[in-house]
Amino acid sequence: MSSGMAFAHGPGTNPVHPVLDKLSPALSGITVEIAETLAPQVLIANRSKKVLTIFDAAGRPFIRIGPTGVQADLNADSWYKSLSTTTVPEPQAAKDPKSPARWTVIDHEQTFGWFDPRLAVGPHAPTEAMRKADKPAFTGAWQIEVALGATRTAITGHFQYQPAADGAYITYLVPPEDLPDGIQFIVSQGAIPAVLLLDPGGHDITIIGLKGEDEIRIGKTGTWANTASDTWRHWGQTHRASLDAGPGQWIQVSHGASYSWLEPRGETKAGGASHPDKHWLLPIRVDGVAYVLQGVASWQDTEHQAVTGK
Amino acid sequence: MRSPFAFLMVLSALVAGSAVAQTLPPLTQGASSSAPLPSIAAAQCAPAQCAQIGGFAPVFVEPVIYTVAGTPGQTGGIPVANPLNQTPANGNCAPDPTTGALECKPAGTSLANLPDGRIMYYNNLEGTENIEFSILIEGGGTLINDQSRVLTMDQSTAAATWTVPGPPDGGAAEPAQCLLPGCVLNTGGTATRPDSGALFCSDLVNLYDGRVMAVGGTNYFAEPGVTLTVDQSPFTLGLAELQGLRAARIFDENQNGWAQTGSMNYARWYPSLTSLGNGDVEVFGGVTKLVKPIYPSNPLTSGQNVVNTETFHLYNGAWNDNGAAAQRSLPLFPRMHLLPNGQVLYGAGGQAFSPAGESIDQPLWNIVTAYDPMARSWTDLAYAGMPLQLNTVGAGQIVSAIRPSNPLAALTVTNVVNSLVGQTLSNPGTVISQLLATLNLGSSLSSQINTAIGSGMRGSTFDLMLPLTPDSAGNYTKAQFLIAGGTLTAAAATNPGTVVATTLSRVDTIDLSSGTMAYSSQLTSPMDQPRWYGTPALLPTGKVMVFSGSSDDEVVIPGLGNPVMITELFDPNTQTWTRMAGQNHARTYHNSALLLQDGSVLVGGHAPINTGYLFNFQVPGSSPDGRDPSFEIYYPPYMFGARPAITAAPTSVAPGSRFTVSTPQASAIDSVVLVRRTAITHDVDGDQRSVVLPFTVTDNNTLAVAMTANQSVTPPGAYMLFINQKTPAGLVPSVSAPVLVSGAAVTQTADVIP
Repeated sequence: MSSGMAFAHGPGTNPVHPVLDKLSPALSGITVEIAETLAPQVLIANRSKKVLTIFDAAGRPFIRIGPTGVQADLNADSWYKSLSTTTVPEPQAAKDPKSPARWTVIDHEQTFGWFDPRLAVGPHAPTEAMRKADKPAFTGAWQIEVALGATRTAITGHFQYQPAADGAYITYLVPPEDLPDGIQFIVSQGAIPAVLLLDPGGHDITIIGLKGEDEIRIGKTGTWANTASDTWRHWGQTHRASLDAGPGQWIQVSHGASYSWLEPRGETKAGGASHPDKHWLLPIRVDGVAYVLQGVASWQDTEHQAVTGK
Repeated sequence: MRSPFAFLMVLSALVAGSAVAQTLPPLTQGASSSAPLPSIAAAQCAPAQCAQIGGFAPVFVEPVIYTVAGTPGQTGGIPVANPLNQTPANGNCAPDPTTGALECKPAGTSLANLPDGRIMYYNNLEGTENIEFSILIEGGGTLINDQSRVLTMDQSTAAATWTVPGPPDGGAAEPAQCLLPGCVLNTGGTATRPDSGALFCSDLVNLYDGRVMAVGGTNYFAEPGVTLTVDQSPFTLGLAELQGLRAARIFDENQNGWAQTGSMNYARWYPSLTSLGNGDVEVFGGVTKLVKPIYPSNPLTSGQNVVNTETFHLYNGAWNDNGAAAQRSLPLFPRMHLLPNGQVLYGAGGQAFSPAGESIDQPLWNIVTAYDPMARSWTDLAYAGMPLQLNTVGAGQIVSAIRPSNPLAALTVTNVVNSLVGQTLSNPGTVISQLLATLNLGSSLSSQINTAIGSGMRGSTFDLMLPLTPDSAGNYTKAQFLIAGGTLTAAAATNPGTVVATTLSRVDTIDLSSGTMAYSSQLTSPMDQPRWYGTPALLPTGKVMVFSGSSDDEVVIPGLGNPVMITELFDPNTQTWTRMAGQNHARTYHNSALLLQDGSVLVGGHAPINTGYLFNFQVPGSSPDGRDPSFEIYYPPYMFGARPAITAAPTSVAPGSRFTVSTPQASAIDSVVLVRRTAITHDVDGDQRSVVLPFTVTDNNTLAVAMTANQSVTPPGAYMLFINQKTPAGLVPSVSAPVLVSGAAVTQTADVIP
């Protein structure tokens, strides 16, 4: 099956996308993701010990996600509207907004996902001026009222117009001239590129994280990651829960002295007619000496990327 | 309200009528049928041609179409015949008289060479013939479990016999992992014809004792979906989901049947398997939900393939998660091989869904890396294709890619690039673009060069391990891999690759002699034909044949590529490809090939996605729609003349032992080769290997052969032993002798996760 045809593993072709804002501190223990398949979906994991209640646009609660699982109000019209991108049959009681709630357990997990009409991108199409400008643009906002325990708050976000790209950024790293010989950084292209570090010389090399913390150490005995590093926890290539050994712990992630990792500082977002070079910095230490590599992302038009074996 | 399909019902009634239902025998364990087996005498080549390019005998096909006894009602498809549906009238399918659904012969898309030379195979994408309008919205309700078969080819009686294993579909079934409400489960399945445990998209491996294990697979359902009714027949429409399975099932040739063994911890679709030196099996990659890989329980990893690796232990039939440091993001069906040092190499080949983008961490798929089962962690080795040992072929590719229009500049480019021939370039794009900086050829020159040499991950390619050859001390310190065709990774930020097949071919080397894993790459001459999903077969002589495939990625544009009918031969000594005989049938997606005991090659498969993701119809000149259950045998040139013969050989050999092989041609023998029996699907055979064994000639009729003690070179299991004779026309192999390599299998190892 194809991703493009079957919506697998990637967004569709609609140029407007719902974007999630930073979550309110009141939602500690809650993880929210917006996924785009047939339509945008809200996916929530509740790791707190409280019940998270989801309210519909009229203020009626219709989903609860808590420690014992997921409940739905089967008398809520919004429940049926969340089932599919198309109309589904619903009982008469659900058509009456005054019907009493009929909460039913629908899942024993603490996670759930649904199609939420508030994330529909149709009403938030870009204006003609936005299309002509050919730049990313804000086209509206969305909000989903929730309550964690007794605390009312909201999950919020906006809609963004993202013009189709006619090329891509190609990223490379320029090492400082005084970097010890033999140390090589190779960039593997991507919206978030990966960096491969090769060091046949066996130096002790530390990659500094986004907040200035030590993130990865690479040396003769292998490669170690700092699980207290936010950078690692979010972008380490193996960022599954099982790697979360606890704050402050270094874990060995490879017995080799070469390593590749996703590098969020090199993130690029295509879109718009203007594609200025993007610059970023990768700080490292080699045998205790600090160095900074210059990251450069340069735009290349699609026609310059033709690839053929003929 | 009238159904939107009502008009088509009327139309189909007008054009149906001609289909005459026939009585189909029930599909039951042990049912068998036979057909004539074309021999080498039927090879379609003139004698002089045969000795140069080999020849294909005519196709042969299972003669019977079965139905599942007692199947009630519809099989889940839309009960409205689409008059535009053009399922080929080639005798491979017939309507079930009870349900009206088409029953079809399974295609040989996944093959395993059993210890006695029989072939166990199974189908892929069973049920596509019953798609009426679009596989995207009907697949979850129409596709069903795939059938398996055992094929016996008896040249002495010139008969091919097919036998039905029990249960025919392998017998697995799993609940769906629905993430969205509105999920319609098991829509096409019934008790006797389920759709929740398809063999499709499992990988298969020959275990140490000759049994075959299939791991993973597909559960079809619609998510979200709705159940509708037309003429009192319920059917399901919705976005098809293909969910991976946790199941592992074992086929036992002695029982002619399947049984379930321990299930994996993670459900996988398109995983890859590799046997270790002790016979245990590692599983890598795969995805849990193909179409909607969104996991609310792990939001951060949504969109990722399964990163966890697991080990199947022979002693207890259980899978263990190898822990945190053993995790790795890999493409689907990653191409993996066990190295002589016991580590498992990922050579940056696999299947990616070009060009839409797949996973946020897909840049990591460009990195060649090795998994250490003892340390349970990975060591990154290189960016695939670099460093490049620049040869004249590579220099030519690079000069051709740069192509400056200014003649003076062109001369400079040629001179500069040619001056580097013989050197190993850690990053050829950077080095050459720096040397040519004064010519001002553009900022993208570096990536242009690296693209021209085909660096980075190769999609839908094959990654074949060339023969492992001992050094003078009898140690195996080098492994080489031929990677050819497929689709190239694109130098774009969000794009895992292109959709047009490439001719590029390279040989990657892992040098273990210094105790490390030193990687380098070298370009070979390109193939004659660009080839997506060409399937290789390593011949006993060390040369490589490639069969089948398409000009374009037929997952992105199914049914619109051009089938590649010409086969090609790679000679590792000259690093060149040569056109060989043309095959009989077009075989694009889900094709297969497998070296047989006599040195010929069985070619089969073809079970495509419906053209344009719709229904069965044929675009003239393009890849044929509808599965092809036929096989054909390719006879290489060496089979058309005198051959050496093995008159006696042991049936089993132990690691580190010495054994004798009797042959009247002893003094003319060039090499003794153990070839692991193939288990292949989707260009993946993680155990594929050919091992050259040291030998001495003890007399005119006897060879004394030294078996390596290194079980990472010859993991326990079923092999074919060939001897190659030197002739003026090159090496000529014998018919093989079956050999079981014993070893350290079924030994308990520590399961403690670090």
